[in-house]
Amino acid sequence: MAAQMTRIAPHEDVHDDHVVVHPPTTLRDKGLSRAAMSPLELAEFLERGDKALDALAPSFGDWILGETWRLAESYEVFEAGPRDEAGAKALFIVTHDFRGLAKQFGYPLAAKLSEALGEVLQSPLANVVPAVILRSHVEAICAIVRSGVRDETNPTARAMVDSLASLMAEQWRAAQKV
Amino acid sequence: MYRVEYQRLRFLVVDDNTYMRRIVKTLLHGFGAREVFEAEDGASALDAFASHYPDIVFTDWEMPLINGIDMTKLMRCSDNSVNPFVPIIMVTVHSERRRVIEARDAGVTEFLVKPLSAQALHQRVLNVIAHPRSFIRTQTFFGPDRRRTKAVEYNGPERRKGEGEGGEMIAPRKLTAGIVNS
Repeated sequence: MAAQMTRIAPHEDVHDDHVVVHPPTTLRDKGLSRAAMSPLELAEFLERGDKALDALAPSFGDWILGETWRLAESYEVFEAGPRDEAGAKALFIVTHDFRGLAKQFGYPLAAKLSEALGEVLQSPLANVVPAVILRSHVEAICAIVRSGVRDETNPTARAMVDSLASLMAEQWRAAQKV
Repeated sequence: MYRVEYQRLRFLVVDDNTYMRRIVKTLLHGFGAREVFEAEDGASALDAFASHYPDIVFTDWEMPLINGIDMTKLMRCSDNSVNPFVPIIMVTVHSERRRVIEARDAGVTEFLVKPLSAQALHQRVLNVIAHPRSFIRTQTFFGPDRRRTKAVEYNGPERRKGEGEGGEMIAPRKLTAGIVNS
């Protein structure tokens, strides 16, 4: 339903090379209560948000698992394509999305790998790095999530992440020399 | 501490990922919000912005076609923007300084780095409502004042001409009318 609209002209101070515009305070009037909130009330209020989020938490594992399939499929499209900017951008968006979810859902190592992959996809290296290295990142991300590894100190996952980080660092160093 | 009346506010959540939209929506509903609209990309967000007149916009950065930065610029600077002053909260995993500056220069009001928490989200909402900033219009920028605080010990050059240097202040004039929900 359309909101009832009111036009309010902002107050403006015009200076030599800029204008300072003072928007109407309607949002403050509308969204802020004059009744103050005590620290205890604030804590209870924030707990409502946390509880709402906690109620979703049991689904996080399934959700991110579904995203691993999406990431793997997007990678296949990228590898089968012409390795151009558009392909890298498309895969970057999926990788970046994944990174956000991994951080939100508590998969720090998967987030770290997707960050490394995203950095490369946003750089000129995207079309230079051997596909096997990029594929290894995607497969490692999927393996970590499918194994439910949320612990940053998991030795197997840690070794995999460190090994891929070394490989990627070599690529960056090589690119700097060119 | 101010009390935010979420139930009186209308929100627009823009993210190409359905799960992130759900998380933001869940937090807002948890705080009492009733009107939370969604858009899955910048283009559909602009449509929703024009038709729902949200009070606050949450947006992701990286989205196909029109990303969060370009969407922000369009909401701020488009001639037919329904509310160029709308608070825009950027929700992203980008946390590098250059990214924060890029978002600020596009007209983003607040920056919220993932993972989201109830406290961080509420703090940003409270901030944009309780401490609204003036807007600055120059030839190359329109958005919330990028100077959040007055640096009393700042000794560098004053880059804004005619402000705080005894320059002549031209009488305020009304250029455009903002539209706000009531």
